[in-house]
Amino acid sequence: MNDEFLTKLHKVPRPEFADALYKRISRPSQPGFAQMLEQRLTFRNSVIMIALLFVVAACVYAVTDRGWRKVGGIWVQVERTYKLTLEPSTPVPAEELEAQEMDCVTVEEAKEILRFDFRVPAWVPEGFRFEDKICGIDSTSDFAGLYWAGAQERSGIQLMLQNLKWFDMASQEYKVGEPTIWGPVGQCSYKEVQVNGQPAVLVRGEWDYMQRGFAPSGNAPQEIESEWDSKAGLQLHWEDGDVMYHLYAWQNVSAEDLIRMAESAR
Amino acid sequence: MKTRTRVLKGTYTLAEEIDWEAAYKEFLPRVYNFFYYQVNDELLAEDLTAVTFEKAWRGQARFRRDLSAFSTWLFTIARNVATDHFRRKKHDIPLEAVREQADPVPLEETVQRNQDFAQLSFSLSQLPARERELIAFKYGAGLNNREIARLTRLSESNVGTILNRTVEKLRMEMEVNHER
Repeated sequence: MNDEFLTKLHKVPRPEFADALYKRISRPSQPGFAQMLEQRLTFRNSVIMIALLFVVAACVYAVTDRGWRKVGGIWVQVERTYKLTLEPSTPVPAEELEAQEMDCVTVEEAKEILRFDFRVPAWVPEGFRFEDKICGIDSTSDFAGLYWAGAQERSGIQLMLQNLKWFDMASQEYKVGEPTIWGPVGQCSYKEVQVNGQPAVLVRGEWDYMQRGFAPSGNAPQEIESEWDSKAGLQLHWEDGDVMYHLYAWQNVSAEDLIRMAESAR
Repeated sequence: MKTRTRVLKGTYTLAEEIDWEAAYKEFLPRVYNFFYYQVNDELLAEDLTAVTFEKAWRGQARFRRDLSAFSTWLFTIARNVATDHFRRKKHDIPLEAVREQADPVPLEETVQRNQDFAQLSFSLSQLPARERELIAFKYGAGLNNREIARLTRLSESNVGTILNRTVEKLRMEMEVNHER
């Protein structure tokens, strides 16, 4: 193809234009948002972003997580802090203390006395010893407490029993109360678990006034505000046969062991 | 064009690949002439060349070396710039545009050359847009038929056929002009 004549139009760009353009484009570019996003949207960054979003969502949830929640059919009251009032106490003479000591009975005796039936865990984590006594109960009691002593102070396991069945005088009928955890728990401290296939609530921690050991001073009631300590222990709450079980452990017990203990109740 | 390639978790990053200075040296005259062959106006060709390189520079992160050669990518941008320009301006090549000659040549030769340029410019301006673009790619940018085919989505043989026919048409017009 005789096409040499077509190259006659060919022209060399002016050097000043070439230099000026090169200077302009070789400046560090300021990438736009979309470009920046495109450049940085790697798999790793995506994972980090998603994780951050979860953290932010968790923070938002933690801040807004207040009030009554129904977890696995059990009512849970969630609070950021726990305000309580310490009433001034007057020293009690020793003889009066002796007189105030409660009568205690064995589990078998308690089952005869109490108006509700209950189960006792047959398995307990190693290092805990069952104290076969239930104190301060009579035939009208709707509450009873069992205790497994640990090797150290405040290291035991406590099981509180609560009869949910009550007699309604107005209708002259027995009714069953709503299963509820006693007292408020801290934000994001609870989750639903299963005990023998039934919903239960596992709570991590407790209010720190238990450790801080507040003592009332003076004659006026003392207002204290307690913070939630998520490392201070474990609680497990479940309902079985119109009885609410509240299991508390403070040290050396894992959530798995606490659930296993609950499931061994018979 | 020299490129330094580096595989980074399965993808390429252009900023570390392209020897931008070498690429600029090689492609500046080609892009410039691609435009000059279509608009026959030095300043306008410079403007469009500048727009092309600025777009390429800004969009370098979008270039995927595994998908296209740098020249194809750059001339795709140039083609889009040209399309935008013609769509906006409906630009006509000025017939009076006669190139200034820097080198001293005899007056008769200068006059003859200027007439040739003017005639060639006029003939180019009379071509349909597609043929004019193919001529600009081939003789302005110095691309081969395969590269032009890739850019224009025509088959390589089709590009060859159209170019042959167009060049023949232009050559005949030039010859007729000389005979006058």
